[in-house]
Amino acid sequence: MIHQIRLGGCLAALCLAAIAAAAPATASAASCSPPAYPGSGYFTSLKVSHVGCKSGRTVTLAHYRCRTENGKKGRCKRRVRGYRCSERRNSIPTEINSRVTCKKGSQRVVYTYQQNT
Amino acid sequence: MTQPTDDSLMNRFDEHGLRRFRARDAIASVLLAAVLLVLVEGAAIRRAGEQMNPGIGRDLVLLVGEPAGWLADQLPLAGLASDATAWLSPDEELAEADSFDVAAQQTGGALAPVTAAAFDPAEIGAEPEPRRPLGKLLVTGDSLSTPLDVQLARRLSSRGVDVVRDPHLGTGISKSFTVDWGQLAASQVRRHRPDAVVVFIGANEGFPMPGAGGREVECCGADWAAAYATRVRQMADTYRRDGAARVYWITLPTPRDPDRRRIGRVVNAAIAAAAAPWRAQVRVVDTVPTFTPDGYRDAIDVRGTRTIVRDADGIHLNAAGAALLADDLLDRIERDFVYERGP
Repeated sequence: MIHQIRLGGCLAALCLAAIAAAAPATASAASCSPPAYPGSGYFTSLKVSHVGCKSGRTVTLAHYRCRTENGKKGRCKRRVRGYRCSERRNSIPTEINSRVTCKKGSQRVVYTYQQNT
Repeated sequence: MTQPTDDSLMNRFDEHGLRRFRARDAIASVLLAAVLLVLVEGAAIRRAGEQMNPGIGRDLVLLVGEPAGWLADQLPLAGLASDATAWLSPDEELAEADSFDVAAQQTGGALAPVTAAAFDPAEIGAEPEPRRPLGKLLVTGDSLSTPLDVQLARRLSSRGVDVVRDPHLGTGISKSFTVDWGQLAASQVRRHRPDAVVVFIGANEGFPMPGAGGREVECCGADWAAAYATRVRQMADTYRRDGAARVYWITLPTPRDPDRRRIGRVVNAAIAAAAAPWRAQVRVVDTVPTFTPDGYRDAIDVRGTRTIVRDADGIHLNAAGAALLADDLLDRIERDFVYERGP
């Protein structure tokens, strides 16, 4: 009887430990240092979830290259590195400020940038 | 042969017995009017003479005006005449409640009083406050604050000054997209409690902002300038820490791009307006006379050598420009502070 109780306790503890270990990977997004901006402007923030910072930086730069293929004010209309990206822009004649959200399944890369025009 | 007609018109009156006064009566009337004027307005003749340019005309007028004025001063006629004709030009109605003294006693009014902090002692020839030790200097702003922050840190680290560099690239006061500078300034002051703050920001401005009444205003009219200045004033008030700290707010050197130039001009005007209440504590460091006195230029003379001072983007200062600005800033900082260690 005592042996069964101990075994049950151990299983419960293992379950809790597994849940605790899994939590950071499934819950909040992590902030990463953004890469250097290839053009005139800045990446001002980068956040990732379910994916590492290195991949986040790769996706960010790939999206930059895609959207600037048609000039500084261009947009990216295809998938980059398997991610589908959407963009919310706030523009004035001298610059664009934007938030880009890229998704691939549960993986998510969100970055903001300031592009001088 | 016809006789010439007598054209003496006075005969018309004489014929009918209508002439009632003689020429001497007219002369007497003029003399009477002159005497009355001397008695009542003699002081006016003297005043008119005193206001004339030196010369014979002035001397002649004063020759009459001074005795006439003296005579008028002895008599009450001037006052009586003034009272009698006062209704022709009544005084403005002045309410006691509007007087300076009453207004100064009122509290909570809409009109904030100008304080002594609005005057830089150096500008008015007053005794400056004693210089204080500079323990910690915060250098912050957008990308403009780099590499200025590095230049200042290099110069001051050996003087015992803790230089905190806190640039926020791509940010702006007119946009809260990435960071709200009102919140950021408060956070910086809480965290660092700096003795002095150098602020260099304005490369990314021009975004619409809520103006008076919450209505969104577009750049770059007076409404936008007012909204921007209000935000700058909030930040400057935070950084000055009720007078415990000094703030050095740097204006924008004119950018190359015409659209940015238009924004920069308004930003600089707003900085000057925002700092006005605390000129003793918030120093506006104007870069325009040094870097762009006659509009944008890449290079200027630095100690006799033509030197490129701007980045290729036509917005930022390069390392040489930042070094020059750092020298200018240190001159200003040393008027307010002393260093704990010598050079």
